[in-house]
Amino acid sequence: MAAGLAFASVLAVLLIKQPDAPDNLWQTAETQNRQRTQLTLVDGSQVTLNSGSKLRFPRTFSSDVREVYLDGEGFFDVKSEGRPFIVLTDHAKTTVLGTRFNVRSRDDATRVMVESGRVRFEATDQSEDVILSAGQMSEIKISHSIPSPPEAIDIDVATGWMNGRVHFERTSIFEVILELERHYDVDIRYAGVDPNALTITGAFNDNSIETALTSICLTIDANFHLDGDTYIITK
Amino acid sequence: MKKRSILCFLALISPLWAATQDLSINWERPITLSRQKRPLRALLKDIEKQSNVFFVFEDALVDEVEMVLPASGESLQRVLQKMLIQTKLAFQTFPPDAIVLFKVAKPPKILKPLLKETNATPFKAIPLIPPKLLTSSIPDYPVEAMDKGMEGTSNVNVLVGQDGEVLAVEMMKSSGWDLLDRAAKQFARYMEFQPARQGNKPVEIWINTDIVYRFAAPLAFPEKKMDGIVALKIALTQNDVKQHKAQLSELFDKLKDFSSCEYEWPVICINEQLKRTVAEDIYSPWELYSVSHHLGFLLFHDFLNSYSPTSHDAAVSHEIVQSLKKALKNQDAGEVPIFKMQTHFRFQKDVRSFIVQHYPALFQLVYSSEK
Repeated sequence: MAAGLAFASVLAVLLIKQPDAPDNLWQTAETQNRQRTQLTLVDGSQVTLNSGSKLRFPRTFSSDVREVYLDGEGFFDVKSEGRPFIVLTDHAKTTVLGTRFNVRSRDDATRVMVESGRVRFEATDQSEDVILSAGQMSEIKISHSIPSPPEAIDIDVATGWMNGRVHFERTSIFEVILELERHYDVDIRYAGVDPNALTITGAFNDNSIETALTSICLTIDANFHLDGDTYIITK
Repeated sequence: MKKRSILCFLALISPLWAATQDLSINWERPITLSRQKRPLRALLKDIEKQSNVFFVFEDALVDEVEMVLPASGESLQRVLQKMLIQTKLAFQTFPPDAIVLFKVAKPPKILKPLLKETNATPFKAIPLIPPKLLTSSIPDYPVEAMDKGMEGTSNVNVLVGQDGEVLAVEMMKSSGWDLLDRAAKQFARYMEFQPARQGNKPVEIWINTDIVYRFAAPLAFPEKKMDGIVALKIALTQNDVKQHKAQLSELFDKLKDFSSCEYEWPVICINEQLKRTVAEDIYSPWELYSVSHHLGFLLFHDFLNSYSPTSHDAAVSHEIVQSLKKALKNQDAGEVPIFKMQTHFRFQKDVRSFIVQHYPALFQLVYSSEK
């Protein structure tokens, strides 16, 4: 409970800073680890940023397009109007008119999950695109700039992070640890564990990092201990 | 012998007891699952959708596991119990709603020296002779833990002094039960060692070891004998009529052997062997029954269905009656707690209605003898 309150108390932290010239018409919203935040853009669209994420957006959108830049993960509730709304990540482009969807750009891949409406998803080189409907997801890896075929997902699970729940589905320990580090703002290392060979499925609440690590270690038959400020997972 | 069977069964469901301590999970939530054979992963997803729980598991534990897990509004608790019986998995709950699946206890590890954690002088090039365990006793199983079917493995680091006595014990990984962990630490404190040596000099050293609390696994019914039963059943489907009588006699004797040894076998083993031995349409409805109770009924019901009429009909009926009498007697006398647990979900009623339907004459006999 205490951990939950501590988490809630930092939710409101939102760092809005002016970018350096010449981009002085742009703003950046950024969350640190263990933070989430919600913001409303000038067109009325709403964005919820997950921990360790950054959204760059203009003070006013141009007359023909609404473009924002995302590094990390965010859930977009886009207000419907004539201008397309585009979310750009390092290597992918998501185009919508009005819809609710989640974009996650982490670890050399961008993944889009659609809650309602339709979304066009493509690599920034625009070689191929896919149209995603409600309940579908697709992913573009930086090494392979073609979107994966649309795949059915449980959107409630995929956006569980907005309610403080982290979900994993066939996720490597490597990725799980990165996500937990962001979510709980801790350092985690491992020894004797091949982080890419083991994958897990599951969900973790905000309650504590120790609970999450105990669950993971129990199912992969490993141990963990705290060494200074770093959690060490050992097989 | 019965006690052993009970303990084995309790061992299987013991994680469920741990789970039921957590009030935030609604264990009575009704679950409905189809009768089809399905991947365990899909079944877990279905259970998640119908309840307020989330499963956490290493994918390798559930991938390629398929099972029949029929449920028609049964409680979450009972569905998980049925799932555990078919796998070598256990689970532990983490508040408020996570259920973590993991492999059941593994064999004890060999004592391992932990050179880095000792305060002893660095060992340089002089070889280290690890400490040797002198204690020949096995850990005492706390009576309460045994009664409650608690099993688990406590992993401890033990500091062995230069005189071979234990100087300190640290719990590294809990067994999941405080009671067992306390007993493990107590046991570890009184272990005695021949001290570790570096050259001729005894040295202080940390070692790591598992202390395993597990009910002794009873002997399984020999695979060869089981293969013999299966081979006979296959042979009986062939057209060599001349051989049938002799084969039926042999099969009957082998089944008697099987049913009379039921308490000697681990529950999982019984299930796997029964699946191979008894026709699926007979086995499935009585899966829970076969877990904990007399197998004779199931075996000979299958025999009678498959080979009737034979010269063994009377003997088969006798076997069915005997196994039922035994079951009813034990239930009435309260001698078998497992059976009481089963009656909790109206198993007794199921047995009776089944017998009335299929064996009306036998039911009269059993019912009157029970009275």
